[in-house]
Amino acid sequence: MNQQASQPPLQKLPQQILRTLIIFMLPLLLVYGMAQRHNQQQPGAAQASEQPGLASWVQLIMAGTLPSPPGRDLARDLKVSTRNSLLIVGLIYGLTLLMSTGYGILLYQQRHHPKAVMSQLTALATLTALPPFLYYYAALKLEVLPFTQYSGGTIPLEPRLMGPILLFALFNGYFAANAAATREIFQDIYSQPYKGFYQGKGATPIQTVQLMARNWSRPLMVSALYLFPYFLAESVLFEFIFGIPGLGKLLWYCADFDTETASINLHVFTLLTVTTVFTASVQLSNILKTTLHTRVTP
Amino acid sequence: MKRLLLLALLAQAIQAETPLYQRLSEEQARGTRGQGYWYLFSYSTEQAGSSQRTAVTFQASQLRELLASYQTMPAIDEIYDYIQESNDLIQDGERTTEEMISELEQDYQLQLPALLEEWMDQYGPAMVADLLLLTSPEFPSYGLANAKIIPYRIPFTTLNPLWTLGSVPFAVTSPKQTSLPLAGYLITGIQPYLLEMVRVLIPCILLGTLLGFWQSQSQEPGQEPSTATKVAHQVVNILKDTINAVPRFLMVLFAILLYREFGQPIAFWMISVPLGISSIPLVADRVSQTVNTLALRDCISLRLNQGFTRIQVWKELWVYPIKNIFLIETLGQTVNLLYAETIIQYMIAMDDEALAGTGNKTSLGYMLVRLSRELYRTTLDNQLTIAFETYNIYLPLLSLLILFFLIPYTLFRYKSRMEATP
Repeated sequence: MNQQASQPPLQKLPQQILRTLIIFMLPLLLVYGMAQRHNQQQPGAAQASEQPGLASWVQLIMAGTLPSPPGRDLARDLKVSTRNSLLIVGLIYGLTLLMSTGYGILLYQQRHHPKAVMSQLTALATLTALPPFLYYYAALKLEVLPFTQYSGGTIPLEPRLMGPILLFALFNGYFAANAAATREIFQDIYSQPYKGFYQGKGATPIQTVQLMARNWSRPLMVSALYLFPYFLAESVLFEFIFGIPGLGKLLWYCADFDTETASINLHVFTLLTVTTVFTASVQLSNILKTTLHTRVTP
Repeated sequence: MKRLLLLALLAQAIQAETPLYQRLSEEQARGTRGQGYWYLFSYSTEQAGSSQRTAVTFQASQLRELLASYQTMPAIDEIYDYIQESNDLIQDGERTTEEMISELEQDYQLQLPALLEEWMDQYGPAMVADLLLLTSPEFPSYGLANAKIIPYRIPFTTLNPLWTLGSVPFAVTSPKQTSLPLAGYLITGIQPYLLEMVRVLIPCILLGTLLGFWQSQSQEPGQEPSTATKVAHQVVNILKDTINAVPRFLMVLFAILLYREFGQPIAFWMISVPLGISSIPLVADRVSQTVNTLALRDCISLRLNQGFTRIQVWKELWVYPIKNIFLIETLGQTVNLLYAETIIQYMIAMDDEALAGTGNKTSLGYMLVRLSRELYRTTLDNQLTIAFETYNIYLPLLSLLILFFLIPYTLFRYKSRMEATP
């Protein structure tokens, strides 16, 4: 680690580019290899062999055209589902953050009873991490939520699809973890005499609040960015389960059953595109996290 | 004679085409699966503007007895009309059920099977008439093709809570054993997780620990590292970032999507291996950071200067703090495995026919999904509601949920206690 820091930045650049390229290409190659192997094993392999290889896909992407499976507009679907997925992640994360901040403040106030706080937090972590579908079933049974499983193409988010999303926001494992993180951030903030320090430096009360809010928000944002890939991956899984039109639902259309040859054809290009979108968003959050982290801890 | 034979053949052909017969023969072809199972028939009857939903349960052997009795019965529709007309009289109090049965046997020169007489008392004549019509080969009801088969029977006859808690429905693979005591189920339910822990998770975490240790040892502060070390560092960093870029759940998802298409059942390792692999860089990072911090504080060099050998220092490092990191990660990954498995079992349960299914049918996640899925079906498929409420799905579900809560809670408690150790 010390060695890397001591290297001049220009010498590091090719290494970084190579690393980013490999990180992008590795999942793509993995998915491509598996999908191609599958398609070749199927009886209706004719369609699979007609598809051009990975290199031509990269060429097409570079040229600005997104190759779609027959009868579908992949560019439009991808746009809508990516927006939906990001919205869902935003919604879930926003709600979780709000709740966990509130709970973190409560925990901070109870800091003189560490044992009680710890057992409370553990119980909550276990309860909120129970599979959300159980709560969904219970809500369906009690007729609190209507049954919403969308089984069409890709459409923008509708209010009727919000039930499972909100439920998932309420019950996921990150809530308790975030509450603990928030409590630690509060402990960190209040253990240091920021207020007196800023005021002693001559800041007005409003400026003091602003400076303290910056101290709060940056660690929170770093932890948010750390959790972002997990949230996105879980939202994909969750969209897949509940049939909510997002990236998870798009994965459903990556496979196609051919009734004539009784074979399943995987749309390699759709799989590759979804993987790329996913990897890109995760990489972006990684870069942002690193930047923010270095700014928080210089 | 020929004509009779033809008629008999025709009747057999009609029987073979009836969905219920098809279902039964399918079950028989599967071997013992049809034996001792409970069939749950549920349908709604609309009379005088109000609809009434009713559920009937009986065993496969009883069903066969009923189907055999059709061979000796004349026109079912006439018997149906007869029973329905008599039912009005019975309800008005002008006739009893026994009288009706004896008159029916006299008029049509037949012997009603004891099973039907039993059902007359149990469910009432109107329902028996409906059942006769629904199950008869002459009037095939395609709704019966979807008859629900329950592979286990929850003992609802007793309300002793201890008994109910002790009777977690058992795996579908052993139909003879309808219920198993809680202690026994605990072993069968947790066994797959323990096996995966030993087989996959612990080796992966151990590998991560070793990697982290190597990472911290291979670089002495103030010395120029060799080219091999530099390359190794780059490889480890790339691997770390790649695993971070395709987090565990997407790896699991891809594995399932693709392996599902390969037509193989989803094995437990397909869930535990991605989890194990994704934990390697995390553990390596934490171990190397901890060791580096200790090295920066001169703890290690102090011990070496005190005359301890390197192996002794490493042993001390393992006892504290590396063992704690290892244990914390193992506990955390076990809980992750439990949750990931449950949610993936749910994905598979979502579409039984499209997916190849799982290789494991005894794990806690499987049973939880199975039971909650039944709860879900009762909501989707209103016809089954009453039947399942009769069978009381809530108590076994609750006992499973308690188990599902207690195991992660205990693990979390140990984990947090370890994390709090200074």
